[in-house]
Amino acid sequence: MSKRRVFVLMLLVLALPLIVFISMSVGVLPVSPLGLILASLSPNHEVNPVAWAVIWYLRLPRALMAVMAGAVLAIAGVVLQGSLRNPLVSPFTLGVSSGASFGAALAIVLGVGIVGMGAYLIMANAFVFALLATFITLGIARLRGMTAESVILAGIAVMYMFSAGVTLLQYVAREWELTELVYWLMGDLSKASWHRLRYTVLAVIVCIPLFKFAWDLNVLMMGDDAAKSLGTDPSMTRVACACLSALAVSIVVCMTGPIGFIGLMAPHLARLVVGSDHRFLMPTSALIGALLLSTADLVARTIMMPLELPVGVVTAFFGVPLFVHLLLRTRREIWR
Amino acid sequence: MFKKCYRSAMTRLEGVLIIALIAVSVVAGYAWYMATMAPTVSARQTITIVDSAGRYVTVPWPVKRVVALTTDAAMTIVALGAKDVIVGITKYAASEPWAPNVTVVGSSFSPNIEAIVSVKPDIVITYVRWPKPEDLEEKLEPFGIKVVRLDLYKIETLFSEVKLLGLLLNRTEETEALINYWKGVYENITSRVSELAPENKVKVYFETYTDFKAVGPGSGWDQILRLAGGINIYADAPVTYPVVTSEDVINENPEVILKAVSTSKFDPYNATDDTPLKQIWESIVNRSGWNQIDAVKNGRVYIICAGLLHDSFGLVVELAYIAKLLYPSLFADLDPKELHRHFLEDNLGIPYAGIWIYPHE
Repeated sequence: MSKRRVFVLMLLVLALPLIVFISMSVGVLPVSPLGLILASLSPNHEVNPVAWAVIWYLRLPRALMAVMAGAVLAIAGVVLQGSLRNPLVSPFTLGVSSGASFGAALAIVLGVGIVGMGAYLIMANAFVFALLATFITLGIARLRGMTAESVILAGIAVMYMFSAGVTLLQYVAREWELTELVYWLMGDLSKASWHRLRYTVLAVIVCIPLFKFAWDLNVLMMGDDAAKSLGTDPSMTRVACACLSALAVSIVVCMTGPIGFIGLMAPHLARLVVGSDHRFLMPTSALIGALLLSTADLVARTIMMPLELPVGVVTAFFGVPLFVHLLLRTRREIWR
Repeated sequence: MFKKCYRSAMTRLEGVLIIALIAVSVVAGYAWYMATMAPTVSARQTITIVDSAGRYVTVPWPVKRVVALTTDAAMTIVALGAKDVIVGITKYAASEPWAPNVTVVGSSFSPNIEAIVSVKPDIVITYVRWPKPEDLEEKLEPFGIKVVRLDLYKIETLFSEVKLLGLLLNRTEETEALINYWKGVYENITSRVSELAPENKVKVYFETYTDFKAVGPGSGWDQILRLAGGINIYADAPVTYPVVTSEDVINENPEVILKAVSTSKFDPYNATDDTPLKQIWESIVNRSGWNQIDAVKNGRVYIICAGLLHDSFGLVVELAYIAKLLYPSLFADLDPKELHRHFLEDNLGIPYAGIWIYPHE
């Protein structure tokens, strides 16, 4: 690792808490964590209970959710891009988002779910169908020996199938259900709460074993035959990576809706910074993903205050120009 | 043996101590609670109601500050003469001519919790189904803000919901007067319609904002058509908003065609020129083959502008307009325009203006 890389990594590590702090300091109400700390240190220890509740119940869970969801999407993205050897792959390539969308649409429009869970019907349904979509994808790919191409093509097929299902449900939906569904499909973090954060932590935990595959992924980048000769089983690695990342992403997506682009973009940005050695690439991607989603959510919450934009819109609108700029500026080949 | 006695004695002593400790802390806690909480609790009267979601909600009474997360709720409160209790409103309602100039708190599908908290409401009023409790009640709970769920957009529950709202605002007299007036209009129309013989009912094709998208069961329009005595030719469609073919409409041969135009296409309240409506009307009567339809032959194709008419008591005005279009002789003495004027000027406090139906006589 060159000095420059270390410097950039340090910057990222410092930027994350900073953006979380800024994000917690901005909102409709003029309250901030700093103000709370100052108030509690003041002689009479008078902390405004409303300020405290805003920070603790509204802003902190949301900020943490952005960090964790961003990191999970980015790790899943880098692992899948690596194991499938394709720069266009994102966590949603396996059909996770379209499966989740279909599950949510079923719950919203028809009120039916595989598991009857009342208030959490939409979430549970989205989760179950996200996993279902992944298993169908992997099941089809298995028939063709689990090659990178077969996984991607199967994923695309499954994605179209579930998307068609969503379109059909939109067609039969009543106007209110349609509006609710459209909001869900745009993906945002406003649903963040301490309760839901517990599941997000679970998603992060699911991602941890993926780091063990860093070396296998490096080897896999040289091609299946080369990987085999170096003792890595390509299809085993692929299945393990796909299952773990799909599980983690499903947990996130069932709570936030499909937030696009982070999982595609964060790994590429990370490659620009640290190159394509997965041992460094994975943690860097996670950091960048967390940073991107936190920033995007900050923009989404504040740009049209008090109206909130769906964060998915912001990630695309602001992420794409940034991404294209970096892509054009860099001279060396970033893929491989 | 000795040891055992000793231990059991200690246990008893410990037990006594623990009970004493609990007793002391309960008393202390109660005293503390009385000292800190009691004054704020007794400062304001409360009332417990059952809202349209079937939940018991205890709220400060009379309610003095309301965030209306729906256009329907905001409009109803204005009609009750309590405009000044609204402290927060949705982005959609804020653009209406009758709306109070207060803080915008997002929409009913994505409310901004901080904005709601910032205006310190006694209650938030929203639909029965939206937003989900985990997105609203759960988040407002730390701030002690209660949510009352009232739909106010369905004619069958409108009057009872308005009554409850009037009670919350302590405006029972105004509420009574308002309900009596509109219920009178509503019952006048529905009772006359109920005496219509089935063979005298007219067949209606109702087209929504989108071309060839009709209304089916479960839609608000279908219900209004039924109340107005019309036979919606797509009342048995498998979906709420069926997309139909030109051929099928010709085959059904409706006696009346109604087309709804959205506010974004044509703002009826501020309109002075009816050319856009005329163009829409012409595009319908000139659809190929439609000159075979009775409605077109007899000049019974009408454009209805939806703005302002689709919320709260506007529904009754809308019902009156449609009933009169379907049965002009049965409702010869009914004057929808007068009802509309009353609604806008006397209820909402804005001048009666605009173009709402085309062709207008």
